Amino acid sequence: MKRMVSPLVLLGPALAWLVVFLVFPLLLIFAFSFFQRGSFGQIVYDPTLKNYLRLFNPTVLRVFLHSLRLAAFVTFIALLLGYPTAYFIANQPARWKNTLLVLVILPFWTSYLIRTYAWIVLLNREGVLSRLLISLGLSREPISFLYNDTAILIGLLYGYLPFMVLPLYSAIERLNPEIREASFDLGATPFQTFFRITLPLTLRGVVTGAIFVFVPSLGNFFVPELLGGGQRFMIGNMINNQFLKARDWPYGSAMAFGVMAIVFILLLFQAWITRRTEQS
Amino acid sequence: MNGWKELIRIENVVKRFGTILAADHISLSIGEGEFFALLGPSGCGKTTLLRMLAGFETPDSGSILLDGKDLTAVRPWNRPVNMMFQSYALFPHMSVYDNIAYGLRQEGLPAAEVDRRVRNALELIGLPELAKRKPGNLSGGQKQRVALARAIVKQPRVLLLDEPLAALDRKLRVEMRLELKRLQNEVGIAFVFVTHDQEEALTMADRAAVMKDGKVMQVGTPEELYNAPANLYVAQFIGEANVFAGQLDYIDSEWQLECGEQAFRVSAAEVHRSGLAKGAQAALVIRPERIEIAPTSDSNSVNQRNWVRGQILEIAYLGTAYNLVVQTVTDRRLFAQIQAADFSSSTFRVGDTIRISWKVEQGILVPLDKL
Repeated sequence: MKRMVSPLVLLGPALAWLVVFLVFPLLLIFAFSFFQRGSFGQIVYDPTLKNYLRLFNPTVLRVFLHSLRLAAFVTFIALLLGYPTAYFIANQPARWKNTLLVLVILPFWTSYLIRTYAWIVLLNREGVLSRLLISLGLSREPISFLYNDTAILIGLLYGYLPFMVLPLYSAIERLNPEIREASFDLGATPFQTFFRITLPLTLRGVVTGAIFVFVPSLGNFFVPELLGGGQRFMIGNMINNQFLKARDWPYGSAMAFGVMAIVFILLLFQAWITRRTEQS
Repeated sequence: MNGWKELIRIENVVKRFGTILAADHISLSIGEGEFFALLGPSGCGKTTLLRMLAGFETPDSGSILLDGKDLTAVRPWNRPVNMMFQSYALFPHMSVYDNIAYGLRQEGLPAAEVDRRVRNALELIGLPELAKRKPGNLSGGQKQRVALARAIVKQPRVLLLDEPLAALDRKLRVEMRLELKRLQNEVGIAFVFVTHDQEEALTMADRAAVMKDGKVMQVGTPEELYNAPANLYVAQFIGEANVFAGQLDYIDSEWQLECGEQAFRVSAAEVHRSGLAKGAQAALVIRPERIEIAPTSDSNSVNQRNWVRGQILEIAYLGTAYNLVVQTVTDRRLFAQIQAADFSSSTFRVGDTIRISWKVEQGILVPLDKL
């Protein structure tokens, strides 16, 4: 018998890529977060915990909280919109499923950044939405929908909704339809069946989808930049500013690790849910 | 069929899926406490009929009555009918106990009552020690019993079983036939089960409906289906059959079937039973175990017997019997099953020419199905 291909050959290239371009920069940033900013924005290699302590100042905490709340809200709305969508697609005849899934991922064929610019066209004072309202007689004056939290929410939701639909779809599609029928048969209405059977059995998809939406929403900086007009700050903007404007790399690094800590806790939660549902 | 009382009446039910007619004017009655089989090949509409009884499908026309009340518009969760699914469809996130309790909790029964009935059901299927297990940690046979308990515990008027034994391995399947029969006796609920396995239907059912292309071909006890099939389809679907097709004739006060190369005598009782008249196209069906063989040199009387000459192609030993494939001079293949005690392997060898015969009254006469 031929020898199996060594795992190193299969995994090596991707592993090397990740080590060079992900692990190494992360370690670098991690190291920076324990140093100090010099007067010219350079890094002074003088160990300190000051950067982490500075995360607890009220302004930073407010931005953190605001970002968490906004990302959570985006995730919640994405779940409300995504679950019925995924449920619908999963229950279509096989030949329709793939077509519908392609439609869900179609937006990925264009850059998210460009699509966000398109939302400016739709939402600004002279934009499509404003004109539509005027021509319908619902408004006399042009209205700008830009530069507020709602605009950011729309932008994030639009961008990350497919990440909610896909894992939900795969969870719902895997469900044996006879399980739902068994619940009906035993006297449960469709409503009861959804909350006692379908939802618990697709919880993994819900948690995975929620993390896929929540994590990038939390870290996104160009949607608040473009649709929030720099008025509404999220963590991503703050980190971005530390690196590019304030040139305080150590402080920016500490913030980045603050976000990563939150994400890490969420991933632990996901792993816990997965393990629990996998037992069955 | 003593004290038979109608429980379910299916009246003229029609169901179409696109261009496929899954139920073509089906009418059937199922009795209280009866073990009833819906038997047929895949795609014959038996599962659709079962799903209409459960309420998962609605008939396009016709009606389904239970205890004289029309069930047609009643939703599945309101029907006094429970189903055991082919995949068992146990809830994977719940323990065995919670699976069985699910239906009772839906009824809003007090916890003590639920507990009592779940424990009884666990006793009934002989698995009280598995109450806390999750379905993922059960064997196929255990899952099947839990699925059964979950449906029976609701004390339905009818239990529907969709290919209940199909997912088990052969040995377990044979054991479970008896087990299901015992359970059905014990709980006294009518069982309606779907199967494509005629042996399963014959061994378990009190009565069976043989289905084909959305139609019921015949309803009867296993003996009726085997010994007095209503048509060639049933004759061939239930058990093995040697078939001679021809035209029915009445000559010299004797009935016979003209098969071109040969004419076989047919008993008057069979002609009467089949309702066929002189000149009708008909088929004579001979079961392999009703056939007797003899060496051609044997000069015993062949009076009152039909016989043909043929050459042995194959002999297979089954322990209690031998199965023979014989090719007749007219190039027809016949199957014979001879009890081991009546068979001498030194007299009969592959390649030998023998005489195959059967008593006239053993021949089953059926109309030749229109294609």
